[in-house]
Amino acid sequence: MITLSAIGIEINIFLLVFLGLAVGIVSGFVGVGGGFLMTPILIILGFPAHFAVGTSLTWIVGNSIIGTLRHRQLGNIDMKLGILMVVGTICGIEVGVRVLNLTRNIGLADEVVLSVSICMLLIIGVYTFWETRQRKTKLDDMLRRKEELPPDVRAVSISSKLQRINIPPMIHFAKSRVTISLWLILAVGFLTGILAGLIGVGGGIIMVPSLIYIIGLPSFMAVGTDIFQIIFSAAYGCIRHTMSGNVIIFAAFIMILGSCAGIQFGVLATRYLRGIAMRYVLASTILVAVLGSILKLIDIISESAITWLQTGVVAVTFGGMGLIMVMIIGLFTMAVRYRTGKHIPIWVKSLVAKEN
Amino acid sequence: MSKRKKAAIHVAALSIVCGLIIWHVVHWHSTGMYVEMFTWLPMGKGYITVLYNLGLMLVLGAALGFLMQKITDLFGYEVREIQHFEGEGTNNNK
Repeated sequence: MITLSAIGIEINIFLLVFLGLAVGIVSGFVGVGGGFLMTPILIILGFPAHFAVGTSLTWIVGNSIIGTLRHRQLGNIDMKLGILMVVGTICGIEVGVRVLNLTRNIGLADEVVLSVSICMLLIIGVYTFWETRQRKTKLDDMLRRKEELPPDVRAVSISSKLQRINIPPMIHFAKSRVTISLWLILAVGFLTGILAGLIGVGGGIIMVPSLIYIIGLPSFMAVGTDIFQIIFSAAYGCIRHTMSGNVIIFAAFIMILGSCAGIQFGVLATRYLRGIAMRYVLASTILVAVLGSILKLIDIISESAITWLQTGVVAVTFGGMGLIMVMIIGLFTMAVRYRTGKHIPIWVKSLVAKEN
Repeated sequence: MSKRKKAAIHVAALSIVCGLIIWHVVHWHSTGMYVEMFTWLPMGKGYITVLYNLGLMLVLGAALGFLMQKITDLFGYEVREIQHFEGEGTNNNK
């Protein structure tokens, strides 16, 4: 047990290491910072809310650096695109936070902003799930016809239309083989940043689907590029929260010792699976975040403390994290079995990569 | 020098760096330095805390990230780039 004197709580050191490990796996595989999982968990463990946000953002800085180094090795990062996106994202987050404060000042209740955010997250989550399901059905049909599965391809339905919009300057990204207007990149970064600022998350769960469906990046390149750009947005958040005295650096340090192993596993799992497997896990991650936001909304609407709500928050947070971890570890195990020539169910075959 | 021998030297060097950082953080935690750093914020010395926190995360993240890379090299686990565009140009990407 360690004592965190600044907030006056005692906490088990191994629990913090395990949390870092678990959220690190999710973060490495899906490309999110992990704040939407880590923050509520720290609150459940007794951290005051503002300390939980500041500490998890500080942890995300270190965690994203570890993830970026490994994703770079796998060729999953388009640095040029990441840097341009981060400009829009940081401006968007700042605007989102200001809009949130403004709506509070003019008497527009939190529940309105939160309801809009939930609807948007739900649309993104359901679209990701629907698109992935369609793609998987197509691949499963090929498997049933005993056809060879094609290599992993990007989802191009929306992005190809957007890439035809010719507003100069058009920028070519050689790494991700995309040519797109600079303004579109900044706009996507800005809008996802606003949404992130409104909901109070780092933005990864919104940014990854945006990079896949709007910009047109291959799934795992979206994951790597997002982790890379999270370094900057989390560092910005870390600076703001440290200035406000909201960071328990020792807790962030302990968590990073666990996450350095977890994120390695998450990133290396991308070598064994197809993009659609990641998109399935991503859709589940977004839907877990939606559930968490719905509970937050109920908490705001109800004036008195509700017991089942507290239980619900704990169940969704830990249950959601467990579900996502089981999905990643399960899929990875199947992929390893497949590569070693062992039998795996036919419905999993379309999710695993033969060789990478 | 073989690749694994090189990796072993890197692992040893990075382990020392990580060990020193861990020792430093545990030492400062046990001596109450981090609690004292909170008192710097209202005194206008918050920038030192900001630089320290950010610097610690950047250095520790980079050191642990490289250490993990070198450990996998040491084990002989080969990490190759993913072929993202293998399927481009086929009809299946639409």
